[in-house]
Amino acid sequence: MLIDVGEYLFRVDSAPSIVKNNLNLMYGDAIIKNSLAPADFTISLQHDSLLRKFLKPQVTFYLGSNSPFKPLPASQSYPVMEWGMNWCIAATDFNRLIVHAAVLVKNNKAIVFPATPGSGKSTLSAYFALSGWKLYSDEMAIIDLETLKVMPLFRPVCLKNESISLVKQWFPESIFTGIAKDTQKGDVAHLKINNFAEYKTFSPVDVVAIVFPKYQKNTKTEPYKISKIAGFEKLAGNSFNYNILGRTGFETIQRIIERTQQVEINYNDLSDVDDLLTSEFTL
Amino acid sequence: MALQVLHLHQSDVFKIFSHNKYYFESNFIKYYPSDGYGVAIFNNDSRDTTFFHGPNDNLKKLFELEYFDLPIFQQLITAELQVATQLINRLLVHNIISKEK
Repeated sequence: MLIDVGEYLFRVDSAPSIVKNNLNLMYGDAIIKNSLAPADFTISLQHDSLLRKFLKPQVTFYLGSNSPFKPLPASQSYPVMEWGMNWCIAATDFNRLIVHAAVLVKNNKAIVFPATPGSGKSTLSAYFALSGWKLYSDEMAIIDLETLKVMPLFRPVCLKNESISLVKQWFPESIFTGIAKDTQKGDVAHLKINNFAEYKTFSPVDVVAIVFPKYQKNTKTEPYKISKIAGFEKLAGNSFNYNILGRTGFETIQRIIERTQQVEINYNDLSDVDDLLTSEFTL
Repeated sequence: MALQVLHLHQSDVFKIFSHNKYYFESNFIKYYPSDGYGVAIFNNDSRDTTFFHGPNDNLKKLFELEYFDLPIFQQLITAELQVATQLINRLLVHNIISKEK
C-alpha cells in the first residue's frame, strides 16, 4: 500500500487489519495499490513476537528496519502509525523548515498556528477546516526555504479527549476513526477533512501571520501584537529542524518574521477567532 | 545583617566585573527586527541562538563597540547590576564575547 500525502510517499509494508482499515478511511483515494513507485518512507507496524500478538498485545512502529519508539499497546495501533508518519517527516526532512504547527488557509493566505501548550491547535484546525478554511496541516508547517511558501499536506486531524465529542457535536457528519483510549496523549481519534481530489487543488501559498492562540474560559476574544523577537523565539522553539538547518534556519525564520505579523489571541469561542482573523488579515 | 552581606557581595561583583574588558567574537550573525525591539544572535560555530529583548538602538550601539566593560554595559543595556552581570555571563557562555586575555 502506497500513501500519497502530497509532499511525501509512504509505503506501508505491513500493518494490522484495523490500521489498514483506518488508513483506507482517512486517506481513501490517496492510496495507490500495487504500486512499485519509489517511496520516501517504507514503514510498518508489527507485533514483535507471537506472544505479544495475543498476550497483552503490543505493536512497534518501524521505518525500514529501525524502530524509533518503544512498543505500545495494540489498542493504540492507528495513532502509533500516524505519530510514526509524523516522526518520519520531522526527523528526516532537512530541505524545508518544519514547524510544529497547524496551517490554515483562506483566500490563498496562510496562517500558521504554532503548537504552544494550551493553544487548542487541533480543535481549532478541525473547526476552521470544517467551516470553509483549507487545512494545509494539523501537525506541521512545511515551509520552502527559498520562496517561504507553505506546502499542503494530506493528513487527518488528531483530536484528543473532550475535543472529540465537541467536534462530533459541531459537525455530526464528520468522518472519524474509532477512539484509542489511554494513549500518552489521552483518548485520541483521527478526523478526515478533505478527499484527495479536493486536496490536489491546494497549492503552496504565502504565510501572512503567525498566530499563537490561547484557549481561556470566560475570556473575550482579543488579539495582542507581540514583538518580532518574541515571535522569532517562539517560532524557532517550535521548529523540528531549526538547529539542524543552522544559519539557513536562522535566516529563513528572520525572513518569515519580517514578512508576517505575529499575534497572540486569547479566545473561548472559535467563531470569534475566525471573524477576527478574517477581518485582521483581510482574508 | 542580611542586607549588609548582600551589599558587600554586590560590590564585590561590581569590582570583579568592572575591571574586565569584553571583546566581541567574530563567529556570529545578528538580526535586529524591524519593529525596533531586541536582537537574535546566531553563533556559526555552536549553531545556537541567543535572544536579547529591549530597544535595539542601544543593542546596536553595544555591538558596534570594539569592546565594553560593565559600566558601559550598564549605561547602554541595564543599570541593574545583577541583570547586567547575568546578561554578560550569557554572552560569555554563548561565545559571543570573550574576556580580555
